Amino acid sequence: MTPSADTRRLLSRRAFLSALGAAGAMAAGAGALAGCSSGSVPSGPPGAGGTSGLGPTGSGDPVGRVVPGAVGGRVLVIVDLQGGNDGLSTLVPYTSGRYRDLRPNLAVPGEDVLAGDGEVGFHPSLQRLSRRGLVTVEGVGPVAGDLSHFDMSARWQRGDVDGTGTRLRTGFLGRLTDALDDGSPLVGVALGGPSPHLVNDRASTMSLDSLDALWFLQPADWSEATTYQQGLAALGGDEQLPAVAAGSYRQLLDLAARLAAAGDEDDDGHEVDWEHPMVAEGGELGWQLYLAADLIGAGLGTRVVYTGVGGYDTHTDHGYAAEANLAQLDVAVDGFLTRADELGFADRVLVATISEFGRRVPENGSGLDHGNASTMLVAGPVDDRRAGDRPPIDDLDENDNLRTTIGFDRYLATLAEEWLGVEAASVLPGGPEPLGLL
Amino acid sequence: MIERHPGRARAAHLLRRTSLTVNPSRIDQLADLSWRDAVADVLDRALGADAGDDPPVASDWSVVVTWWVNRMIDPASGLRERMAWFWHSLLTTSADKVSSAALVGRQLADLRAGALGDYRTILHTYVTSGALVQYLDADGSMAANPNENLARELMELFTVGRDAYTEDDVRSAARALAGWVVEDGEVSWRRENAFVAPLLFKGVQDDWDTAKVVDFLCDQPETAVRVSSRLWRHLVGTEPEPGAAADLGAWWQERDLAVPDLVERIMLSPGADTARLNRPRSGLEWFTAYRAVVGGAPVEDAWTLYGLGEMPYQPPNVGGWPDGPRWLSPGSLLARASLAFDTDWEAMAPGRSGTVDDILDRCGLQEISPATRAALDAVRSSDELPAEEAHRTRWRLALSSPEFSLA
Repeated sequence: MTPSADTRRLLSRRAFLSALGAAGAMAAGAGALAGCSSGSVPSGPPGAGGTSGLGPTGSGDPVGRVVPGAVGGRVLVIVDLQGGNDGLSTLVPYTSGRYRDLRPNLAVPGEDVLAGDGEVGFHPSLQRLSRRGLVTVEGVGPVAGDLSHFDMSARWQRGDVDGTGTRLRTGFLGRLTDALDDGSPLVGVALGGPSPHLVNDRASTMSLDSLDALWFLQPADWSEATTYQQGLAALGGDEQLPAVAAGSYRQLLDLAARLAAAGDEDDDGHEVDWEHPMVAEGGELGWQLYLAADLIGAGLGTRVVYTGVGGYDTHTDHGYAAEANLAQLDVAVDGFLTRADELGFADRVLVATISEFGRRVPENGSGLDHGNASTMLVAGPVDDRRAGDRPPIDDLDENDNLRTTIGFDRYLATLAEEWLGVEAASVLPGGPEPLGLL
Repeated sequence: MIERHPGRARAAHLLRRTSLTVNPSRIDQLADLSWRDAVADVLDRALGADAGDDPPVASDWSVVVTWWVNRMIDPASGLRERMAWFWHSLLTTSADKVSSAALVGRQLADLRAGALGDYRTILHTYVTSGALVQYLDADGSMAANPNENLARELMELFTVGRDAYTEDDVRSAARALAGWVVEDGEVSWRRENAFVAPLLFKGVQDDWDTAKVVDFLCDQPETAVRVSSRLWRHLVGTEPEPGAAADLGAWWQERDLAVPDLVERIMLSPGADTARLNRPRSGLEWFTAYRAVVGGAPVEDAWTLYGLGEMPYQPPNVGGWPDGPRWLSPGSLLARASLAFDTDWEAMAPGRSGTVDDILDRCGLQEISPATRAALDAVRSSDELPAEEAHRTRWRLALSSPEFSLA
């Protein structure tokens, strides 16, 4: 949810200073962990009570490996289109008579599609991205899927294409952070709330609603904050067990200082520019990606970013909803890539969409029911390319949904191995084959 | 660590492990008792009271959870709330898959009422609760093509564990468990959906049904060993030795899986009284302790717990919430410290004065590292730091301290 104007005001340090002394328990936007642990946790320190103490309790899940010679420093930004994004509205098969027959009201008119190639073209809302060029991957979905948001989201989170991996306790993105862990302060981050995608065993990851969550830890010129920060750095430092936590505090203070240093000097540290078009027009995803750009630019060693936005479960008013949703996606992702260019990391950041499933091919009133395979979008330093394996629209499955032609684990394998250089078989069950796209 | 007062330190440790609240006067009460007598007092007090009111009937399940969190932080709360939480973290349910808040409320009411009973009854009640039936896809499961989710998790997570069953056992149990339906907020069993003929499960031919499967699994030694070891980890903070785990399970089985007996046995085991501050407080444990200390108005919205990574009825998966050092990670401590920093000092009853020792007493911190003690003592008022701000800073540091983040 986008912070309200009031919340935004409360979150700013200047406002806090002026409000000191006034009653006000406020909700700082500190989300917490996505089941994260610090890279600095020592293994098995003796317990304070003399009994055996905390040891890292690994999940028992597979441990990721980096491919020798992989390009370092690349960042993967996942955009989760929650609710089930319709592939046929994203990349429209505008010359298919069958598509028009099944969607008499909801088919996107052929004259409106963008960058059409005679078979498919982009939804008219995807103006900027269609100009920029991106890889589309058609036919991506689960194997033996069901139609439950809960189950299908959980499968994507685990990286479990056929539902046999329910014992995986970590998330696919979490396993990527562990594979890429170099002790950096923020290897993985989820924006807009904790995400099961990032549950991991080792690397330092965090969920943030706002970079202002760290405001009270940033270098300050008022005594109450500096005294608190000095105290925090000194807490528990002389005992082995609390030292685990003390190390975390020092890491946080370091993170806050680095964020402040990377911020605009005229500003209070690091805040979202609410007037920026990608934020003003990009909705929730817009400010999440705005923060993502700041975080990546701040040099915290961030390699995996999860962003997500709801509203794609379009059982009613699909036409209007798709237009609005994809317009936000367009301005947010394009704005992010533009900022990445300005901040100097455009060549090492890739944005990839995921969504738990596509939508039913035949329309149902003004909307579309839960589907199966969908089309994923990959933007960044990539060539414009229609990829994947287009599922036949005249051979739907028993639920009238598009058949999966590419298990989503192969799509995830591609992002892991071809972009981040993490061996796909080391982070995904069944050793799925990357698609050779990147 | 500095033990500020040996008796109070021992009592504070016992209460940290056997309740979810912080109650300084209760620490004082138990401070003069021996460990054995203090454990007996905790059990007597819990067994002497029933579960009290049931959760409110609400249209939103988070209202039910908020109600529960307020029960947890009540100064009078004790072992019942601690055990109800323990059972929910083992026998978990996500409200996302439950069709009504009433089903969540009913499962919670049963869990709290039965928390100090025996594991067999707790498990029977849980497995047939409408919330669980929906959560693990047993709702509408038909014998002809049964859903295997409940059958698998019943064996893998709630009873015998992964190495003690086969895929054939899963298929058989799934048939035996078929027949449950949730309709109009009521759970019922339909004979026409169930498998009513003899069936081979775990090598035994019988007219298996849900009750018989649960009973059979509760009779397996692995169940008692796994569940009692898990409670050992929860209460003592360490992994039991393999031999000790087997002995504990066997002993518990002879006691018909009675919960109070197991709690007593674990807490009176050698080393349980000195295994202090050896595991982190989880997100929920930290929050209830924090709210009990700062007082003020009741918790209005338990969703804060989501930000702390441990909202009841929102487990990350059916395995419940992961534990271990991750609770002391930067992300976790950031969420805790920012809540502590933003405490509503005006609403906090006696929060405006007092020495460092008063603050530590109120936080239940009877043991403290020299560094933390020194950091609190070092905060002095000055021209730049008025007395009230200095006092507030000491409070913030105590609540942010690693010691307060440990159980």
